[in-house]
Amino acid sequence: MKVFNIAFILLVILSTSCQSQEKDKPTHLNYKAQTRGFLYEIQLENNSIQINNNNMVKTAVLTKNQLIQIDSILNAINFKEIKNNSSTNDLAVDKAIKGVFKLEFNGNSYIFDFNHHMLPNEIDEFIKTLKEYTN
Amino acid sequence: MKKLILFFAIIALTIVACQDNSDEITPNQEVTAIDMSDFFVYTNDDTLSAKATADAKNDKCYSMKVLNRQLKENPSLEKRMYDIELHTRKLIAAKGKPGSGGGGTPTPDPTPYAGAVSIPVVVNILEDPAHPVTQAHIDSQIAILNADFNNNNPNTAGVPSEFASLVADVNITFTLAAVNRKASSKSSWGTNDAMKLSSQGGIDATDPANNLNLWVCEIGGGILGYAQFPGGTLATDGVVIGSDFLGENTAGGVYGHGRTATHEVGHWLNLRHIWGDGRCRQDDFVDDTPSSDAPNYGDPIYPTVNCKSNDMTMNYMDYVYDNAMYMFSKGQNDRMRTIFAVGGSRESFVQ
Repeated sequence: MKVFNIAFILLVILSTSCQSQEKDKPTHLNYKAQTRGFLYEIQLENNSIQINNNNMVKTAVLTKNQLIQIDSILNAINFKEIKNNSSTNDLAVDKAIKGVFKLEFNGNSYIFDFNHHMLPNEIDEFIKTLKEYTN
Repeated sequence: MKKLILFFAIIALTIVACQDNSDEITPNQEVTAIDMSDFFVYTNDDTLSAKATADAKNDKCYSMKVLNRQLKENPSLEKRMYDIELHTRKLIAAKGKPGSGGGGTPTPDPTPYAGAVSIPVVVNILEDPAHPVTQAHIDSQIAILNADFNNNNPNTAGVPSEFASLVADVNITFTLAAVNRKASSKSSWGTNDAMKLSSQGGIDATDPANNLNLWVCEIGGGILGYAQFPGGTLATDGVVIGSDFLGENTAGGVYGHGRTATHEVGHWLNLRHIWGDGRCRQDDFVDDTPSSDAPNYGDPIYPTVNCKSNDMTMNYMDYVYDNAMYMFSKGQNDRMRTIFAVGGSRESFVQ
């Protein structure tokens, strides 16, 4: 019984510490919208950001304040409410551009397929903010 | 002993549970004869709620529910697309088979249309002075369409031996029927078909049952061109090409050799993207094009391997540079030709 108790406590401690490690993981974003003749890609990793707009590449090293602002914007987004809005109907006849949004934040992974020209407001604002950092 | 009995009980239960339900409702005879199980109709799944990756499996079931609901909401278009696909598959399946009529002379099953097809093209230009469309652009576009749909693209010599026997002469000729011009200061028409309607500043389609309407304008937003599948609204039937990408046009750069129109006309003739707009198991409904899970871009070096096979990157229905695409496959040819056959959605073009 003692062994069982010790094992249980160890398990709880281990899982708690792993969870906190996950939350400490840096935010990582890859957003890529591409079709024939068009590419828009954002890479956010640690404190660096790179935006490739049709092979015009801009990079920036983010300040501590900017990283805090990114965390604050992402914390304010309720990702459970965000919806995929990429329509295969439109993609199949080249009417739209699919933007694949992959985010690792606070230990969670999110993947969305957006219509690049109809991003959800919160995501649009977030991307605009990132874009400003590279200007 | 108890454990053994329990073990066998679980095995038996698993086997029973995994067996197909033999009493499931079977669709009508016609549908079971032609396999339509992989057919899906594209719908706007904007009601789909995205979730963290851990929920990905559940998403699939949810998307099926959404699909079914949307099929109910828009049954006429979906029904038309289903009927066109069923018709296409029936004709392709019947190709090469002996006649099925009873008695003396066998009546052959209808097959993809076999003769030459001539398609009049009406070019509707919304003229932006900054992006001029000249008669030379128009004439070169018609010539490029004729080269590509008659296996006369000089680059076709570069088709790898693996695919050489699959190259098709589609035998469709395009003739310039009319050019309509209208001044436009709009820098971005978008993709909501406004350019196709005079009520929205565009140019109305000319007799779309007997002409391919090709609109040329500034689409904007990074879109080179777009199309409409057969079965859609007649008033918007046709293809749209960005001004810089019509025909031989230096302004279009690597996309300035007229293949945007070839690709879009492929859609207009019921071809899907070569990767089927999905993962490996999502098909373009053509037997001789290898499975793939994404478009190829640029000028790929052969071989490009995806889904355990070499991609047919040089196919007009991929996303490569203009000069890197130079073939339709025989399967695609059959698929295009079914819509000109008796009962086909573009039969009016050969009547």
